Amino acid sequence: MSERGSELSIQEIIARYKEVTKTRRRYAIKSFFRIKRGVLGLVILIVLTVLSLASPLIAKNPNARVHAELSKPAWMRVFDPNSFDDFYPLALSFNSEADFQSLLVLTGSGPSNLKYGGYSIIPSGYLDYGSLAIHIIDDIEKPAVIGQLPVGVAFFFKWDHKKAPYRVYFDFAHRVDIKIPPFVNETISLAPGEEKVYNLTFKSDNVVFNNLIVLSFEEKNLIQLVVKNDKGALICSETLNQSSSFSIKMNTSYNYTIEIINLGEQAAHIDVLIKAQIESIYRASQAVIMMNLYNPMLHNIYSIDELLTYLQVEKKLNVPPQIVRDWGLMQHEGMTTRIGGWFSASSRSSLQEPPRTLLAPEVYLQAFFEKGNWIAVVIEVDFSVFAFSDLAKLRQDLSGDVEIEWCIDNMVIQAQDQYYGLMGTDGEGADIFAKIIDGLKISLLVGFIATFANLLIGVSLGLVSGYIGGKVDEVIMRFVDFMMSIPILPFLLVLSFVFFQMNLDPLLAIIIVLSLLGWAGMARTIRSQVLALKASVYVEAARASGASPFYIVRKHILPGVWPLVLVYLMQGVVANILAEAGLSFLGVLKPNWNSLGKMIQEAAGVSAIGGGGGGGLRNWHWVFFPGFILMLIGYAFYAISDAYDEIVNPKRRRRF
Amino acid sequence: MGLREYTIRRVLTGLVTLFVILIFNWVIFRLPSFVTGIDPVWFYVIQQIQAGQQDPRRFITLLIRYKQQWKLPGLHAPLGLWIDHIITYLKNMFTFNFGRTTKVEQNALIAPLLARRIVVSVFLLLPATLISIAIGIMLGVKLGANPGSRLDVIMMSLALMLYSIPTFWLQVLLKGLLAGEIQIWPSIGGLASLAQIGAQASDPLISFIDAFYMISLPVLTLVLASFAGWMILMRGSLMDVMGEDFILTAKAKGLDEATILYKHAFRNAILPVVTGVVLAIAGVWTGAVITETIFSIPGVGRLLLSAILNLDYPLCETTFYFIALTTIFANIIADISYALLDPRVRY
Repeated sequence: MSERGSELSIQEIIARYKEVTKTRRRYAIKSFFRIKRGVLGLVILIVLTVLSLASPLIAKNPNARVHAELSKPAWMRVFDPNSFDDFYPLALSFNSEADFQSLLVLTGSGPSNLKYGGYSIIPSGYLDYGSLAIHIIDDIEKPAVIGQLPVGVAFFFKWDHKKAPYRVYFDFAHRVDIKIPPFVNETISLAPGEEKVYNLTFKSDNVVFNNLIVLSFEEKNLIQLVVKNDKGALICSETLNQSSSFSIKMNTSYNYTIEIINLGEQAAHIDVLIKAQIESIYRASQAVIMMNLYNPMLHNIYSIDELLTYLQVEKKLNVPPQIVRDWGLMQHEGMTTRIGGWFSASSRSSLQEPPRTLLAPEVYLQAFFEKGNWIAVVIEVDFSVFAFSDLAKLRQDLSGDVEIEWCIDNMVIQAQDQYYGLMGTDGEGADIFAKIIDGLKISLLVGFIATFANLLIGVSLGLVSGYIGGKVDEVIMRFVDFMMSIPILPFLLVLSFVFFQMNLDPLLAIIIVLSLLGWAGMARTIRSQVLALKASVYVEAARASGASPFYIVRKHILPGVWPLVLVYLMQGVVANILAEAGLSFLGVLKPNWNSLGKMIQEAAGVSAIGGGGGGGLRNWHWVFFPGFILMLIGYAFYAISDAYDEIVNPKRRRRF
Repeated sequence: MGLREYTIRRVLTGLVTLFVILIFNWVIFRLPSFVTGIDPVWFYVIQQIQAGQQDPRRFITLLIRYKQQWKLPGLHAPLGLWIDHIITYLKNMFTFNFGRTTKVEQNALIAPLLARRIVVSVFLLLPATLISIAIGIMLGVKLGANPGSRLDVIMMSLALMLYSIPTFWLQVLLKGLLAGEIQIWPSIGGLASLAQIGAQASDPLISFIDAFYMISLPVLTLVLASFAGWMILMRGSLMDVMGEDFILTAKAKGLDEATILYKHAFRNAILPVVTGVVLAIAGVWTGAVITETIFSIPGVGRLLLSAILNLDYPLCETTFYFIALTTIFANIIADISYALLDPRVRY
């Protein structure tokens, strides 16, 4: 043992070694921060990661509709002198009694047996706060006539802005109920063994309809229901121990007897309801939602022709009629109404969708808004009777008038600005920024998991192959050759297709697919690095001193491979994120999350179909931002790995 | 070991890889049936019925008919039947007897269909690849000769950007801008309207020029997306060579910069690039899935995609087999050419 050896104990050597390592690490960090590119990359990466992790807090429901479809980013207002200061220049909601008082109920008249029967406000309706119910009465005395009864609600509001709103959005829940007078509706008391017989006779001929029989009684009773027709056929015979309802097909060619017998040992009190189910006679044909102008001077809602006249005569504008019809204020959007239950209906009236080929039709629209006009929002429904149907004949057998009730609730009217949020909205009106940070989370997750799997396979195979050598090396390298000669993208497509066929969750499938590929090059490079390290003197020394292979790999070879692994990690994450986006773009995996690739694909599809001239860039923000974020992520990782490489790689190391 | 032995060995390993790929190709498309335990013929008939092409009442008849027609063993068939099946498959694949498609292009023969698509893919990708290689190498030489210059810094930052751009995004944007907004290029595309125009104007020269005009936008986007890779490769390789002793010797001899760069350094630096060039030119035959989809060009990549989206198994198998075959061949040629060009390579 030399003198120097005796001066420094083992502990001191280790301490000094640790100190050197620490200094070196500090130096590396310092020189990393001297490379601007790397710092920029790190900042971008941290910001995007934090945003994506915080996405559940920032955007609870990223796919919800928040604003007008295809709104531009809010900061673009700077370039638009006519823009509004607010996202919603007008936002009204109708869901309480007081709100509905301000609505105007409009009715027309037609050559119909239907007539308007006033309206009422239901204090607490099916939905929370009450709704507006409009009554329409079918006069049973009159025969059914072909014809419709238009009924609508309108709301007028003053538009103070000089500029037309970008879009006007309505949303309301509505419901149509039909109240038919029953044949029988009474409470009867039957002693044990007693029976009650109802005879149904019809005036109309040969109409088939469903008759509803509802019996309500206490559970301790035992009741028998027998329905027969006058030809003696037994149609229904049921013994009931609880309240029940039956829908029985009847034909008005026959007369029916309905017998209710108390089989129990106690007296029974029974609510009997017998009524025809003839809701299909009535039809609320179409709800037409109109945006219209109201001129207080004329006290009149413009028709299309009047609007044209106004523009041409008073404003002296040469307006092609087509503009007003297609792009003007009269945006009619049809909406089929169904009977029974609440339905949600919404409509968007676009005011500003100038066709490319014509010169700025906004000029014509602007003419209205300069004066601060009134705008009327009208929902109009045409009710009618199927006059010629067999069932319409059954009306004469009903005992009283039929009342149709059309209820409206939770109505929202929003005039919307063209600008919203940091990145605008997509074709569904969802915030693009929210969708992006939501999708980015998955992108990063997929990228990291797949790359870690790649690293695990690549590094372990490279280490084993390089360190053990011989037959093992030969086999592994042939396998690597095989993996490297498979075309990557087609292979990705094929694999994801197979996994899709196996009904695997798309997210899991894509992680598995990307994990299985992309490690081959890494294994090869790491093998050659291991070979170089293995030949170095210190490894030989360690081996000579009897260190186990595991120890040597851990202590002497892995530290030498580590920089390579880190560089591969960075680049692999980018490659995997882009591969995920590409596969989603191609639509093979049908991702069920907000994949950035899927967003680009949707946007490209829409702008390819909707844009003039085969896909212009009018909706550029929808295409641009998802890809831009992908580019930022890619740039961040590449810049960091590049800066890191510059520190670690002796060939590139700067002389400071 | 001489070059001849190396070539023979490389070809042999290539053949082994090809064989493995063939088996893999056979397994992977049958994997869904193996995993789910559903007979592949059953699977196929169900798909036909779901697509509304077959009457559900004829299910059993169809099942038996297809089994007899295709000589397909059921899932629980004895092993001998399966081996027979694999041997038939291998024989067909090696003799390029690919059969017919099941859905795409109405039961067309696969081989001529694939051949037509290859022509289109080559027409698109050969110019794109050659131009991007040329630009990449030229710029790479320029940057590698004086690293650290302003041009170098700008181009390298640009290259990092271009590297991290998703290609399809760039293509969608450029298509929207140049074909949709400014309308310098035809908006729909690629070669789709070629036949139509060819029918109107029968002049072959005009159709040819027209076809070139139409592919120029996809080619431009492809060049933009891929020249950076070549540039970085060339630059790195040239920088390595410029640090060698023989360059120093040449400089000491007083040779002028251009001679050193082009006669001494470039010749050595181009070697690693050659491998990539060979592989890229092979890629020309296999098509570009995403580019062909975006510009609706009927090439090989799009064929594979439509085969996959339409669940057309025979076409999937054939296209993937063809692509893999081309890649393996290109790998062999790249390795051999590298060995030929670089005397330092140890076999």
